[in-house]
Amino acid sequence: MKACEHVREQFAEALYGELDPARQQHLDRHLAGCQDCAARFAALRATLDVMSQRRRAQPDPDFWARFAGRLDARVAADAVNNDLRSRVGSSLLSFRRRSGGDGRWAWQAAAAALALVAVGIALGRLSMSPAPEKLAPVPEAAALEPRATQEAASLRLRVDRYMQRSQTLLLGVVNLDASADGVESLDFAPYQRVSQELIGQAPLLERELSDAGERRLAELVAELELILSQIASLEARQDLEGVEVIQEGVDRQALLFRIHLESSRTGGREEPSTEPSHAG
Amino acid sequence: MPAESVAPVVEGRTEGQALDFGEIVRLHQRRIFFLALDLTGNHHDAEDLAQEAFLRAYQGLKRFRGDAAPGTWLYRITVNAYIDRCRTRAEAMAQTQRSWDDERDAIPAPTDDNPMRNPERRTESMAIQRHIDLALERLSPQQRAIFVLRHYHELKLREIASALDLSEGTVKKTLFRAVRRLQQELSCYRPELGLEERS
Repeated sequence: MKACEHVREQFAEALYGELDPARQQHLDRHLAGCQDCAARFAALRATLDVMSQRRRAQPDPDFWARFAGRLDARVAADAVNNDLRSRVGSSLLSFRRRSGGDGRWAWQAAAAALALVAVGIALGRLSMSPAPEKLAPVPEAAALEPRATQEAASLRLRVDRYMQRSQTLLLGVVNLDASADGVESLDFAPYQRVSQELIGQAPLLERELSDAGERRLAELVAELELILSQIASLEARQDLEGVEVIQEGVDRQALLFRIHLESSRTGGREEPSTEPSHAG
Repeated sequence: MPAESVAPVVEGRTEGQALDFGEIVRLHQRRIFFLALDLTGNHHDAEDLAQEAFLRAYQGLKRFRGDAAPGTWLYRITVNAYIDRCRTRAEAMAQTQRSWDDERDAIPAPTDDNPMRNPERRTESMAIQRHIDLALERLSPQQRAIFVLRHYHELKLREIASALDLSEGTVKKTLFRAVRRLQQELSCYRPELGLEERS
């Protein structure tokens, strides 16, 4: 029995031919004399044979050029964000703290930051000129359901998901209250992580919505992208001025109301979420 | 847009040579995208994950000491980004769990008169593709990463250990558990996998 356990510990290596000759010989001898181990090994090998039948749907030939273009845009947006953080975020926004002023400068700085982010994103996109994305579907899948229907359903689901995540995120941000929670307890990292993910999805979503004639939704995604960029650009902790700017922006643009409106219109589902929230 | 334009040449620290990020992207984008596809299971998330991995690589390029090959380094970044995502996507994972039984039940299991029993037609079957995808979804993030790196990307166990900064023993054990788990998940192919006696 001990021998069986020892041999089975080597199955992973044996399945992929990574045993050295001496251990392979030992394994072969054991399997030849132990029906139980031989059957177990054969079953694992058969499992791998099944897994080898997996096929990946290949992207269309233009995919790689677009991939580079989108990556270019993300790198550019990241550079803009970093630049804002280091130049505008820490110096102009901190002016309010130092001066104890009424915040007008902070608002102007934030407006400048927004404009820079917008310019950066726009430049990134313009320079890349990404083409509309269509991945080659798995042939069998395409045969089962009309492609246009599949794409529309996929887009609707992704928009619902995007709106839901944005809504949860923004609710968390607008409900941040340092006076209640204590400044030290504020950690923006989870908000920033989700924001960055959503920013990464925004360009593709916007294009697809525009192509689908969903102009209002595309505009909403674009406006969300700017607010998300602000969230992503928050200093790691205690950037309360930055949070106030974002809260005001969400309020001014009625983003939460519009998300709710669009979700109702498209039949978006309200589901429990584990995105960062004020309570979380 | 060629990958060369992704970024200017960034000064790396590998033997005093400059590391061209655009060149790194061009050389590795396919394998990183397909790794991301093997990890996430769909093109949309795969592209997003691959882009995130390259963005992290770009951000960390100056810290890249060159003690691993760029490909190995990118594998590590991609898997780490994937595991980070899994941690923050508990909802999606829970959804996967919930939908698994429904979906598995909806897929016809192979029977004697089912074409999936025929090896030639099985290869063409969409149902088995879905079974395989769902079985992969049942692995833990680390199991899935190690399995796809070994099975689909053909990295040796020691290379996986090096790429993921794990011991070789951990990689072996995790891979073995992954294959066992897949065997259980594919139990509808019971006779073919020789499972009648010991499932």
